[in-house]
Amino acid sequence: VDETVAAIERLYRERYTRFRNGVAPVAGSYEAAHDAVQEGFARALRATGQYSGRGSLEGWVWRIVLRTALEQRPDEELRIDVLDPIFVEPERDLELTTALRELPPRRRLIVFLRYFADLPYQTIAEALEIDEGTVAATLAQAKQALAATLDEEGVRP
Amino acid sequence: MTETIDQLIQARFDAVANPINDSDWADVLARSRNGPSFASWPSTARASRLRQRLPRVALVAAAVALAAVVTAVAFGWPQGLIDFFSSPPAPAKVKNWFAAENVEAPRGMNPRAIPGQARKITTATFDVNHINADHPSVHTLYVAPRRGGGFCYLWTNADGGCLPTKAPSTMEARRAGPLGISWFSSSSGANYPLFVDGWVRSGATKTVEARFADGTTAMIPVTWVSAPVNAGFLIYPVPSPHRTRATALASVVALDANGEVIGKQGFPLTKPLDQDVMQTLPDGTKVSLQRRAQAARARKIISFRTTAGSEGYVWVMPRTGGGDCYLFNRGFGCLEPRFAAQTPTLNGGLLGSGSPPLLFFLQAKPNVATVELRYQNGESERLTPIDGFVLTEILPSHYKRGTRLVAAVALDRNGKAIYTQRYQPKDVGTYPCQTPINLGHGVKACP
Repeated sequence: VDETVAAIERLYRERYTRFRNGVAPVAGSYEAAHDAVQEGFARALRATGQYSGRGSLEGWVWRIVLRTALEQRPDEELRIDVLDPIFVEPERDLELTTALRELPPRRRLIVFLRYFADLPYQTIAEALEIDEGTVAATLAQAKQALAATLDEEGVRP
Repeated sequence: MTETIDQLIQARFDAVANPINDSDWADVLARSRNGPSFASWPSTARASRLRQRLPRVALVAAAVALAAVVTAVAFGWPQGLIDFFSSPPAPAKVKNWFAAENVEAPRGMNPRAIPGQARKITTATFDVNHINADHPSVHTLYVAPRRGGGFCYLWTNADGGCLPTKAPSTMEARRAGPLGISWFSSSSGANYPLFVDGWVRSGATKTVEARFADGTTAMIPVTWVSAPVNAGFLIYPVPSPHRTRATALASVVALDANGEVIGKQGFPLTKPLDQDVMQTLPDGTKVSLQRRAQAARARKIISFRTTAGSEGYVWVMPRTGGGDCYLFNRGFGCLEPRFAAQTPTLNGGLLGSGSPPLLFFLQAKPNVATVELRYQNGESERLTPIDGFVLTEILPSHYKRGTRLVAAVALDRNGKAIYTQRYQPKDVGTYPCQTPINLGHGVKACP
């Protein structure tokens, strides 16, 4: 357990910003995301005995943080699979915002976790409890769609 | 190629990612110690919700107690210091309101309120909608700190605003000192304040006082809120004996411990000629205009049919005391004789609301012979001001990004450019669109 606690602390110190940025589209704002990350890591510390060692520690903590963010939203019955994640500062890149809005919500969430949280496919799969192949296929489709929409803005090489 | 696309998309996300590191491991540890035992996920979720309800019960009790105090002190304003972080968190819909204010703000005017830290401060019973204040209802004060200092506040169904991080340096702001006061007056002719509300920075201010035109005074109760707000809040329905011109509220002043005035907000009465009255234009149209505007002598100087089928128009009429008044699709104003010396060569811009038609309105100084509109795609058009006014429609072919208006250039009689007014083609909510994008927090706008 002590080793797990130490690993959680290391994960927090090294990856806090990625966690907060990645969960912000789910929480609705950076402030709410900060709160979800703080509470999520606190819950992870209290639940270290439940970490089975199967899958990565980071994927396990991500699951906790995402659920915490969902619980904090006013729509209590919301589930991760019907979530409509938003870009919390759309004014910073309206083209990107528009392109993201054209993606289905589920695909958008995976894009946020990939590019805001910098998560590898395996960790995204663990966080969302889906197959890694599904993540890869979803991201491939999302990248095609984003590249097409952002073409005029110079994304396509 | 796929990897390159991946890197380019990643770069796009990196550019907008929030780089601020507000991590706090000590807070995580404290939360982990204070939290409930953690048997399994579902039970943890239930425990979490139960904990959130307990303060709400206390909040209801507090609100009832406050309401009682409110009644006792006439419109109710409990004095004292409220600890901000001990106050109940604002409900989600109020946090969302503060967040939406951030999102909706025009470019460069984002108040940067921190919705997640919004707190419920107090409630009070008052009426801002009726001249006799005879339909009071309960209003709740919520306050959210701003990033970098200051705060935003909301009186539900009444008023709200933000305290700037730094006090503006205008003469009026210097005179107001620590006070930030707004007021309501009746729209039915009474031009003295019926109700004031606002805030006062804490520090030197010890009391706030109402001063009346008849020389009498009254103390205005203030509820002080601790850091990070560091301010007091006040509401003051003007008592009925002071709802006449002779006895009206003349000013609100902030006093220090020695009773010295350190800030003053006056309420100048509107001159009768500047009051709005119903007037009739020569074509029979009835409009509410300043009494000073001579509507019977108005001339319609611009009239055209927009692509949406509506009329674009500008009326100009003499102004009693000199100058002109004008009326166009989106507003009314008067130009005093000194206008020509004071205002820029071109003054005006796009009047967009996200739906067609998109109008463009300008006032031009007399030395402007032509105004050239320049677009992103290199197109341009030249317009001749009529009596110093330009009103035209920006056509749908210029709605799309890459084709939008970027500048209005004033040309003199020799065709020499003498002034350039630039416009921001990326402003959200100006140009009409088919599908508004979701800016978050329930706010949608055309990109």
